[in-house]
Amino acid sequence: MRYLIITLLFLCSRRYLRLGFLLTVVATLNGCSLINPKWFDHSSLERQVDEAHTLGALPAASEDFKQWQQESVLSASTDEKALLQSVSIAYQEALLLADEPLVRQEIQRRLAHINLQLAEERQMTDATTKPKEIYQRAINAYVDLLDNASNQESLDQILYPLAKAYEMSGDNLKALATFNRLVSEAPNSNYIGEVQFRRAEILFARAEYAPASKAYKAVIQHSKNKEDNDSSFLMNSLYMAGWSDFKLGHYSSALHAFFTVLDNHYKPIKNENLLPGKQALTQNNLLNDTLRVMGLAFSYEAGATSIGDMLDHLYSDSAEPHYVDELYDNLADLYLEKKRFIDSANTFSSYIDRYPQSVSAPIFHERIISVYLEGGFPDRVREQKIKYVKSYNVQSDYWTLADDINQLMIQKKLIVYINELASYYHNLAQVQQHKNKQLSDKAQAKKYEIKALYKKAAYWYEVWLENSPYASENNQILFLLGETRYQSEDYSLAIKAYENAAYKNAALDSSMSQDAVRFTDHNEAAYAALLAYDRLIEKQVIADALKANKIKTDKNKSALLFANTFVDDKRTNAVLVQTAQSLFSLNHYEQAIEVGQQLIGRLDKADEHLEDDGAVEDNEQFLVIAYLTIAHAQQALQRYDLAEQAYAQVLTMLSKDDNTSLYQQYYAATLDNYAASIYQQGVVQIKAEQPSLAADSFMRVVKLAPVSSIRVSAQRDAIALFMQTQQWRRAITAMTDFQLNFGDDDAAKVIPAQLLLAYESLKSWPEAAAQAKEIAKDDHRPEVRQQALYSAAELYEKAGDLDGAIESYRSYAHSYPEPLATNMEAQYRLTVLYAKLDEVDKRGYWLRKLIASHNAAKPSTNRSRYLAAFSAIDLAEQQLLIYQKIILQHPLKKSLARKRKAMQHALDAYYRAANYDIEAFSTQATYRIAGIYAGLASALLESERPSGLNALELEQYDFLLEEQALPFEEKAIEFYTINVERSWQGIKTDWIKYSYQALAKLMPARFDKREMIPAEG
Amino acid sequence: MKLLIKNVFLCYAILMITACSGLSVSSFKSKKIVDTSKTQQQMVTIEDSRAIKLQLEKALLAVKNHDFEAAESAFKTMLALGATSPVTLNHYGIYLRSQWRMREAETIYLQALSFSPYDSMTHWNLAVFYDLYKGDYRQAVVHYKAYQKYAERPDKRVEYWITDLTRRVNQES
Repeated sequence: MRYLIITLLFLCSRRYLRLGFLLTVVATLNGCSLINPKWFDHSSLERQVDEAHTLGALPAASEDFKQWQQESVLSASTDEKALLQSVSIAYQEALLLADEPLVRQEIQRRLAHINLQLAEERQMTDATTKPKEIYQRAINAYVDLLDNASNQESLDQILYPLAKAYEMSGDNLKALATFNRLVSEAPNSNYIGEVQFRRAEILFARAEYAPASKAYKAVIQHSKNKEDNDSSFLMNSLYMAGWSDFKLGHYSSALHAFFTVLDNHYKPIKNENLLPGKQALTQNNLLNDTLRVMGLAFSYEAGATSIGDMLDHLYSDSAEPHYVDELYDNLADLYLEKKRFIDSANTFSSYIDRYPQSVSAPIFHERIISVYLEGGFPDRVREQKIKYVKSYNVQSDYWTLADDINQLMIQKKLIVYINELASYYHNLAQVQQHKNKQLSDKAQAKKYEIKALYKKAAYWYEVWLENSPYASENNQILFLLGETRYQSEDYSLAIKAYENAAYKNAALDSSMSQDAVRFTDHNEAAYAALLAYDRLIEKQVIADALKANKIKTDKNKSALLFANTFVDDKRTNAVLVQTAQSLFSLNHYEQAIEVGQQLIGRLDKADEHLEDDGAVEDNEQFLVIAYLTIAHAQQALQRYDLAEQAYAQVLTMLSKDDNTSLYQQYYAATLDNYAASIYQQGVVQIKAEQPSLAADSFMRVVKLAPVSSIRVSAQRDAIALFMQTQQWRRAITAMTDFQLNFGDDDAAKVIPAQLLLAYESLKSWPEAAAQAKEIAKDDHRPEVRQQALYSAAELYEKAGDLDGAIESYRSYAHSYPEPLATNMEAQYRLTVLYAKLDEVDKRGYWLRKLIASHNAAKPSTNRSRYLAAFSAIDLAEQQLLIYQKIILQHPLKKSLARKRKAMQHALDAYYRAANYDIEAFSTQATYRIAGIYAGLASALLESERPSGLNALELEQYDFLLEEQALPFEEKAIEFYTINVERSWQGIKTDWIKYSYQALAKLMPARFDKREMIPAEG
Repeated sequence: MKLLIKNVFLCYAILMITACSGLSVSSFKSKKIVDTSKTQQQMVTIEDSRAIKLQLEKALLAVKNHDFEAAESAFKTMLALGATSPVTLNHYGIYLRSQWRMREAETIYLQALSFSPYDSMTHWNLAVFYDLYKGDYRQAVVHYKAYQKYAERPDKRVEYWITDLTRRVNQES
């Protein structure tokens, strides 16, 4: 006996809900279940769903069903139909023969079943006849049975197929009524589960959701009571109960039911990965539909929050179902279908918040980004990319816990997002910067904003490197990092990035395969680093000069690395030039020289191949600077001879054409430095106590660099050294030249005095005198003029130019009364010079002037007293001559009177001279006074005798003369003795000696005593 | 040291002379020499070495040529060589007096006298020095008298000078 139950579940459609249909056919034949796999062909169904934009576009379930019927019928055996018909005929014949009511009733019941079966088979093949007609015979048969039924216990055996026949015939109302009767009259029937289910289905189809829900739940309860969890009705009832509650707006209750459906369908398997149910679930349309309707329910509630709430409500933390990903995914999809992008993204976010360590977390994060991207929310896209990177980067906790496969998957996305973020900020910064330039200098805030954008770009480049440390693009990224750091004025970081791009992985780039992304701008990166150094130095110089120097040193190292690495780079020469100069400025002189020489070597080689005029010009300039740097450094190292050579080299180069800009720029300064280097050699030689060599060096400056600024100093110092080393003639030559060329120079003012000294040293008295006179005339200092005038007089005197000497002394004596001592010396020299010229009157004038000067002096000095005494004695000597010239002659009285008068004048003069108490002149005066008296006595005694005296008279006359002469003789002895006694006091002068001699003659007995000279000797 | 040796030598000479005094005294007695000691002293006239004499000659030549620097040098060398004789020292004393270096001249004369206290020449020169160039008549008288005493023959002029100077001394006092 074969029982065939075919249940066709309809396609449910609802406005605004694009819901797939559910078709379930359960066939049971003699205890065997056959399920046509085509009905659950997931791929074809999904394809249909995916291709359908609305529910109306979906294929009708009935069409599928009809197709199945036809196929089933075609496959049915013709023998089976014939058998049923023959059995029916047999039962009809048996009925005619049966009398027993129970037997007849059983035969009628079996005939009714056969009729029903035949109707079902006919319905499969007969599309033209209405179902009502096809099932009418079976219905009638069951109605008859029901009317005649006597056994209430087996009532369900009639009601169930009757209800089925009504339902198959399309009369759902009668079917429902029949099912209702069965439920009420045979509640314990074996069919009760299915009956309740059929009821629920009809009620649901009639939109009577509350009784439908109740009926479905009755099925569920029935299954629980029977512990028949495998019942297909249970699963569908759970599902439909959910739907019913959903239709009633009882979402929580509906969701509860749906969770049960899913839980029943999905059994976790041990050791499955984090998304185990996904594939299984998606292959099951019922589950897919469940998920979708759950999504709807969640969306009507509080969205993703409701998912969490429900999970919290239904499950413990450790027992949450594995399909939760699908719940969120479906909800998010639902939102997305409705263009509710933010809700969709938030759903994913909720999941990530709830399950941050889930494998799905980064996947859902990608979905968030996709949703925002689809929704046109670029800011949110960027924000989520940032969040993604922060959550899953290689430093994150997530990354640490993820396995290799997940890490690989995440890293691919990380690189994409980081690159996009970096590019975005980089590009944005560049655009802003460009705009800012166009708008000229806008507010500082704008600049700050641009810098901030570059900082962000740089940050992302750094993140890129961190997350992909071994990527082939690293050098390119490093370069971009350098660019952005440079633009954000983080120059130190820019330098680091540039240098890493330039040098760190250079070998790596060269060893890459041709297919790889190769970085070829190592030289550009290296050069950019140097530019960044420059900016950094500019900033640091203001803040901290010491730090700036440290940076300069670092830059120089980088520059040398550049030059040695990128030998053929066209900027290498310029870099070396700048480096040499920088090293010099940092006092790294040896290195500066080394780099300068390196550059010169390069340029010498380059010159042979250069054809471009511009390059030749550049190289000439580099060469000049290289030599200059070497020269400066040698100078600083006090290797002045080497500095001189280098400067000379530059001057030679520049001198080729004085119309060039190079000449204009460097020649004058170089010449000065050249001169300075020679000059410094002189300074060194002075320190080494080699003044002659030093003077030669200074004069080399004069000769080789006559227009240099130091020439004047050099010549002046050479003059000083010539003077010091007594090279008078060279000194005079240098000084004369100096006067000629630099007469207005301050240094020229001292030249006359130095020339004077030189001439004096050479004993060139006329020239010296003339020079002194020049000084006396021209010098701006009165005291110098005064001194020079006196010197001029002295020098004229030395030159034998007495007139010149007298003129200068006289001028001095008249012009400079102070100091008195010098003035009196001049007067004194005049007395001496006039004496030589026998200018007695003029001499007398100055002698008297000397006495007057002394007398007027307040206070007088020993010298003035001496000179006064000198003058007085001289004047006295003149008086003495006058006196001596008077000869006593007859008449004696008259001549004697004249002589005595002259004598008195002379004596007065000598007394005056003696009164100055100057030994030399006092002893002279004393001697002269004594001599006058002695002379007078002699003159008296030797005077002419009157004529005509006899012998006696002559004797008496002589006696009288002797009486006259004796007092004078005694006076003479008295004065000579004064001088002798002076000698006893320790005074010694010639006049004392003369006095001794005179006394020896006048008083030989007393004074003519002589030492006894020893006989031997 | 040289001086000490010379003095030792002098004492030895005196002893030798004394030892031979019998012969000498008899010979001097004929000359009416009353003072034996004076006679003995006169007999031991000091003579300087050849080297000193050469220096003296050099000095005197320089003085003659008015080369007083060379003269001074030679005289100094002479003293350094240990000149003690009245001849050399009086030459030097006269030179110093002529240069008006009175204090040094006096010192040299007195030095000469210390070596030869009975040298009449030295007494003469000292007397003239005190008389004319120092005005020290008392000392002049002392040395004039010494001269008279030690000279071989007293000088009549000196007798007058002693009288004159004694009078002056008395006048002063």
